[in-house]
Amino acid sequence: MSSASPALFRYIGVRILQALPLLLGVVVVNFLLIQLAPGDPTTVLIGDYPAPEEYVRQVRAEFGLDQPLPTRLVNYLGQLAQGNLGYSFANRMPVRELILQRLGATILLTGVAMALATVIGVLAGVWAARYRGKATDGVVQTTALLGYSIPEFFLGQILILIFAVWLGWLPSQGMRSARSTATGPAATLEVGLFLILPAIALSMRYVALISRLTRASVAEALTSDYVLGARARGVSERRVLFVHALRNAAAPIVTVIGYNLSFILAGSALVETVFAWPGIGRLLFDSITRRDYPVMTAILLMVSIGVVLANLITDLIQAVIDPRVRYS
Amino acid sequence: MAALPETLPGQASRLSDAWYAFRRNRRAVAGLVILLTWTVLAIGAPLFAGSNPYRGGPDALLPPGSPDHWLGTDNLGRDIWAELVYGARVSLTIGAATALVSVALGIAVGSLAGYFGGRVDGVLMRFAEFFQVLPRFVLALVIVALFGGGLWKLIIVIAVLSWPQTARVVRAQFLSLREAGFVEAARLGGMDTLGLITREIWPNALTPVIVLVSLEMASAILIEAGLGFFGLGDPNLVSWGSMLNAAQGYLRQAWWMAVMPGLAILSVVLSLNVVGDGLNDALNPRLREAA
Repeated sequence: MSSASPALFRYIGVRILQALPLLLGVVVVNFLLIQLAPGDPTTVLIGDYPAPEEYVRQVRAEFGLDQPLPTRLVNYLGQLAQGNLGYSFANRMPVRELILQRLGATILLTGVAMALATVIGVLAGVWAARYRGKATDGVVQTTALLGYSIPEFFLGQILILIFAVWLGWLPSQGMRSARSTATGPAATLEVGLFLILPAIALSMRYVALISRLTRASVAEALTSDYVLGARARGVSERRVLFVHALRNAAAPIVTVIGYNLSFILAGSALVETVFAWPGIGRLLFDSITRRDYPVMTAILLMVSIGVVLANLITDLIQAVIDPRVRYS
Repeated sequence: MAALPETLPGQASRLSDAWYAFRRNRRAVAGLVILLTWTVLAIGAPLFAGSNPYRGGPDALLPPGSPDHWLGTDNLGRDIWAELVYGARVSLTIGAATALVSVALGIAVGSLAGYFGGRVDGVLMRFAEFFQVLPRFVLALVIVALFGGGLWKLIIVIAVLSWPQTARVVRAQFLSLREAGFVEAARLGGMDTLGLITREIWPNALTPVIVLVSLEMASAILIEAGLGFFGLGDPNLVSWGSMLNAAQGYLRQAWWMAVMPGLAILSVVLSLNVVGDGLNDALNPRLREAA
């Protein structure tokens, strides 16, 4: 390990340097959208809402809207550096606070959905690889194909119809019930119940991707010499599958989640809207319907930056797991 | 230099081999049949719809199996079947046009990067990387929300955000082919750059792109459905996404408003994915022999 470290550190340094122009790029894209939108950039910065004249003047001064474009960009970067994302008149709250308030719900939903996707996807993939070519394999593969093709929000609506409307087993709107007074463990349990359906809807696509990947790499590993060797030594079948063969699939699974963050968040926006889950995605939907532009563009900015960082972190994890990455 | 026949004997048999392999894949053939059925319905929409999908009636929220409305009606009394058939026009147009535009862009960029290499490659691929990190769906949402929707705008926006994958694939093909013996021979024979790219390399490099067309089409249709669900589809056209948007408010009263368009989207996307898999297996002889 110690002999590999300099290469690892050099790789990390290079990747971070390469990510900086991407970060600047996504900020500039956001800036250009605001500046080039039809009408006045002031409208985009304030939203299509009656705002006091004084605030309009303040925004014009802060962002230098009477200055030439390059100066405006510098002002925009300066405002962002101070954490100024504008004020949402539709919500009567600074945009930054609004986003921070909603961030937790989205992290909870996407985190649980991806954990679910990893567990179910890995189990299904290992199972399919174990019984390759048998009926089990066919069922897993067909389900994966369906899971990959169904729009998350339609799956969400189907789940609501079955489990909330017809069976009445699970709640489907929001994060807890309106009149809930539960606290402590009871409150956690309640949020958990509300979380089940949206998490399943969001996870399905990644269950499909992860099970396909796991099946392929485990199937490949099962034909390898080291698995043959392990079997010859009398290692139990379960250990062969989950320790020896599955290790091969670890790095690809990390990339499925890391490189797909933009799709995961897009899915989350749609699923949150279906389930009225009070996260960033639902906020995006509301800001679009209310023409609350500063919220909309701030969310785009946050998501863009998040995706660049997620790609960077994924590359770094890859380099740590798999030494070959550092030298390529 | 003597002119070569347009298709070499080996090429023709390779294509028919591929078609033979594709036909043996029952899933892929079923997918193709479903796609062709939707295409026929979309083209002949006025013939097959049976009623005007834009005109409501007094019979709102009729369940499927009603005498005049076999798939039921929506909250405004519009016939769901008619909406589906007209909605197919939007989904298929957006899917096909976006796939063609984005793949064409990707081929252009990938060819330039792969053929010239060096600094051109460096710059173009950084550009591709940049477009790849842009969050396609959220960015498309914001662009349409700020600049307005409309069918062709949607197509351009989705296509411009979708080309990098094709560019990467084409570039990789070029990198392995540009030094190949037959390309070198044509170059020494005096062929110009354009000829080398279009007549020598493309015919040998673009097979994997065929698969990408079906996958890009599937993802464009999903993006359009998502935009429609967010209420940002073309306001003048009925689309499957906008039907699901309307359905959200009536889930408890009228399940068919959600289920019908949802199944339509699922059937098209699923078909495109199995056709893509089928093409992939059929066009990749090495995989075929291994199976």
